[in-house]
Amino acid sequence: MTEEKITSNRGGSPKYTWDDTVAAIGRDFSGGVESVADEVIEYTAITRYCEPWEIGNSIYWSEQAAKGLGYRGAVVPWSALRLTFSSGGHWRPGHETRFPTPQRNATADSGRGHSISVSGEEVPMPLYTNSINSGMEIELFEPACVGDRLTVRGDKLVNVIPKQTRVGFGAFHTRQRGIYNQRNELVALVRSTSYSYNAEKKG
Amino acid sequence: MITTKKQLCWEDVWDGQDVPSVTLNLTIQRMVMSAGSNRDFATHHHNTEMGQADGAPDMHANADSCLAMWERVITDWSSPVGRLKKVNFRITTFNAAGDAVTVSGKVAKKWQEKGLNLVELDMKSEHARGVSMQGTAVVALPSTSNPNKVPKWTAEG
Repeated sequence: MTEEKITSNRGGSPKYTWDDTVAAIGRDFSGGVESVADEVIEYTAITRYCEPWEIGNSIYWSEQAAKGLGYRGAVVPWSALRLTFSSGGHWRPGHETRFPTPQRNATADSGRGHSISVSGEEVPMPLYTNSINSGMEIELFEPACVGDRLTVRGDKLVNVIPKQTRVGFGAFHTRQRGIYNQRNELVALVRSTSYSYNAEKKG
Repeated sequence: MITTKKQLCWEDVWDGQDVPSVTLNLTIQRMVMSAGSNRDFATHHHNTEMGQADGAPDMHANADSCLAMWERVITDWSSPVGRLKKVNFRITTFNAAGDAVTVSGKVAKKWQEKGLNLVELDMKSEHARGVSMQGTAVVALPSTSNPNKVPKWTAEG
């Protein structure tokens, strides 16, 4: 069995250049499609999120402490809003296995990748071998608490900066999404920047 | 340990004040715990070869984990009543397994606006290869006149 060249989060299309990506600034690629989290927020998911970084804020760990300060329940850490409590699960009954090969570096598709929007619409980006999140801006509004179910709306391309870096050539691209609770209250506005690039060297 | 301490209030803060730093050791076990709990199973966050394929020295923390390190430091300082209002950051180099990442902050300014007592922090993470992440965080703090009143605002202002 031949193992593919190791790359991380490849994507894009040979139809496009970074000029096409720049030209798409301002477009919303969500197509009006909303992404509803698969799960209602549970207490143990919050406490387990806090464990690795030893975040001891009492309103994350104690419903009593949170309610005593006026919250509806234990509060979701703000660093967990963009991904952990807003995204889908990784397998559900009826789905095919995510692990069809024993190759140690085999990668189950863990998401849409950075060049495909929530609606399935292609964001015009050239082929790239690697993509990493390189920054973020988050504005917070209504706190998210145990029992909430979050929905992500919008997928607007707000900035693209082609750039050579020490790891390769590619572009920093920023997408804006809103996170809402089940009462249609805005929880957070997230502008997430990724760097998608063709890796040139290790360092 | 659940944070139990005297609540920090806006009046306790001054320009140039340091936010107590914390050093977080990025062991493989911690990286795997973080990936498991934040649900980002992109392989470069828990697999050395895949991390190195990005140009990193090893598997590297995702952006949300890097932000969680800041949340540890900011909430150690301002919780439980203080609330983050806004944060922005830029990762300038990988935070990889084997790194000891020190997160620190400094009060850049404090002001009052629309009934909120606000503080802006200059934040950074650094390890042996240099500064790995920089940005700012705006935190709303209670006043000494009512230290248990959680700051509130809406999307409308």
